[in-house]
Amino acid sequence: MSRRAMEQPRRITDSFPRRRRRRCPGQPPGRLKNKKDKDKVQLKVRDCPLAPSQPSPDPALMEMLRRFDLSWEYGPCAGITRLQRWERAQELGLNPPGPIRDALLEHRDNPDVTYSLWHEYEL
Amino acid sequence: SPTPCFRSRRPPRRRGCWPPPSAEPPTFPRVAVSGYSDCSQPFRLGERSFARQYAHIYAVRLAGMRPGLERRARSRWGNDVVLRRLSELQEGEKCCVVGTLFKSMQLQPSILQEISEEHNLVPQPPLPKYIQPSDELILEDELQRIKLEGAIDVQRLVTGTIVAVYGCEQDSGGFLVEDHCFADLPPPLPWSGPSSDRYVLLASGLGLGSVSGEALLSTQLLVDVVTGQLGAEGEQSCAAHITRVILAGNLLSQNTQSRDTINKAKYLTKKMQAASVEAVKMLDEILLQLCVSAWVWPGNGVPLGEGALFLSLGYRVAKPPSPAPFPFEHPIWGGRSQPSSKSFSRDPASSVKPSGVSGGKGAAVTPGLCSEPPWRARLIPLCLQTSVPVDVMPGEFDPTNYTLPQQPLHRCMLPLASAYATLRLVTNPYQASLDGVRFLGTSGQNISDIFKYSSMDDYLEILEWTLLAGHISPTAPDTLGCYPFYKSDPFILTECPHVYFCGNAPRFQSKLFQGKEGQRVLLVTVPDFSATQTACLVNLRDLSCQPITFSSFGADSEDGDMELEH
Repeated sequence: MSRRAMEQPRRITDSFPRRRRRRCPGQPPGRLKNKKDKDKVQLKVRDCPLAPSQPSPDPALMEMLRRFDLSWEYGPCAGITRLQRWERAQELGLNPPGPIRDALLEHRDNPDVTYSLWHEYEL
Repeated sequence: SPTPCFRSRRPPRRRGCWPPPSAEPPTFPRVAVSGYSDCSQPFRLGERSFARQYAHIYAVRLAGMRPGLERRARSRWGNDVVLRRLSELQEGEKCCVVGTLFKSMQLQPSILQEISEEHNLVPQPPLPKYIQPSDELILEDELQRIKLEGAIDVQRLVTGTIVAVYGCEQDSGGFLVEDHCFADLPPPLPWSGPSSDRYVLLASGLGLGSVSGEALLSTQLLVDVVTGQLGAEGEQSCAAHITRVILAGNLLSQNTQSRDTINKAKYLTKKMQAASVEAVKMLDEILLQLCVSAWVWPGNGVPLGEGALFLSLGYRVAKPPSPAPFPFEHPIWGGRSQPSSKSFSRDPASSVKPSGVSGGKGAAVTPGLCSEPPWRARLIPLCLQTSVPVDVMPGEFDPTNYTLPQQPLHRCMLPLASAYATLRLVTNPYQASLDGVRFLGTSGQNISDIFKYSSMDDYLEILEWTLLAGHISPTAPDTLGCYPFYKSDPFILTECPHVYFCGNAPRFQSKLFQGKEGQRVLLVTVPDFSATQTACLVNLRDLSCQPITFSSFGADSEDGDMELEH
């Protein structure tokens, strides 16, 4: 038996080559979230964030959503989804714009749309 | 002053306290519970996610209380008062600003100070109060913050309170306060209380599992009073009017919180059992006595009345000769082969089926179980109609989560008592409507946390202040652990309760508070039972409250019976 096996316990995954997680172009800099997030399965190695089957949302729509995130009237945006923030603003009587909710429901499956601007960053 | 319940109901004394031998022992059926509805839904947490900052809870607190405070400001300083945000302030202009208070205290324990290794600082020891004359108050709204000076009591107020201040900005950058106001009492609830005397017993801080067992006798006396096994007919008929028992936290003592398993080496703690395990077993037995409260003298089926005192004092019962084992092979407690002082058997021979059915049927006592002499007998639960509903709230030292709102104790910890529907495990804070009277209360963590960071010394004063501030616990999440809510702050008072209590106070105090819009609130500070042996009886008919003390072998009591104080 080799000495190496005695020093540390071997794992099944030792037989697979280790690969660094690659960042897709166009992603903002910062630490990637860890793999615990089930919804972000697409962000694993070799995958790009957008699923090819869905039409990519309008850049103007993304800009509108980003402005919704950054407007202070509706409260903090980090840590909750945009839809949760919209509904909270609605319940508090702050009158968030209706088209945002329609857009959020239409592109429900797209993590870039549902999650806020700061979602990729850790707490 | 309200007439004391037990004194007023006492029948005229006969000669001798025992009834003549041939008389049928009287029975006092407990008053039926007419209305109960649990309103603690906002305090129950389902799926919990801690991946959020606390900015959300402060934002919803301010956004939720802002409309009410603006209304109050207009009614106090005139309809034409100028309401401004901090970003719109102009120097010298008298205006009103609504925001959250932040008190910057030098002595406030901070995690950053603890880990500053380069300064070699010893962590600050816990102090009773962290206030200092150099503390400052800062008002924050959604965007900015400003220092407050002037007619505002810095020492008295705490972080997290939503306040409206009236004054003007100074050129030094601070805000000179001329007047301030809080949210005040929420709108009143309609009164639909009972027309006859109904009592609710409030007790907190039972402190089971402590090193000294002094409070155990008092706890047993409390249980006996509630179940009607103590006192003559007068007291028993009074006890029949107790419709509910609320245990407001700290059922376990602080001694059960030993952190030996963390501090000591593993080989020393391998066979140790946590002190809380034994204490929860004791709690289970006490709750069982309350939830199933008529005991049968086996052999003749007569309900125990006045003669029950000596049986209730908890002496050991010998191991039963019959091979019937204790029914549970519970994964936590294991099988119990050695029953403790009050064992009972769920022998299939008895027809009682205590599987969550309240108001049950009577049981025939099989003579086969009772072959031992009477004083060694096992007590068998008989009639479930006299059991009293018990609401158990967790407290600071109880085995549940630490952050507010504390979730109910899990029913698997109380295998004996949780089989009965009369036991309700509830959250802390707890809100419920009993017979049309709205109760709201906590186990005291919110009040004791405000005590540490404010100059207010009196628990009743702090309780009243939280009612006037419109928030149960403003210091959460700053100094008191709190779940990171994002949608709404459940601690904001939206409806005015009729009874507002806090547990684990140093002494008993109560006050009937009258609000401007016709609100009537009974404020009760429930004392710590393990220290004071005092519980409270609240009369739902007229919102009066009286303490009831179970002092045992004190200097002035003769035979350890109960005493009443007013």
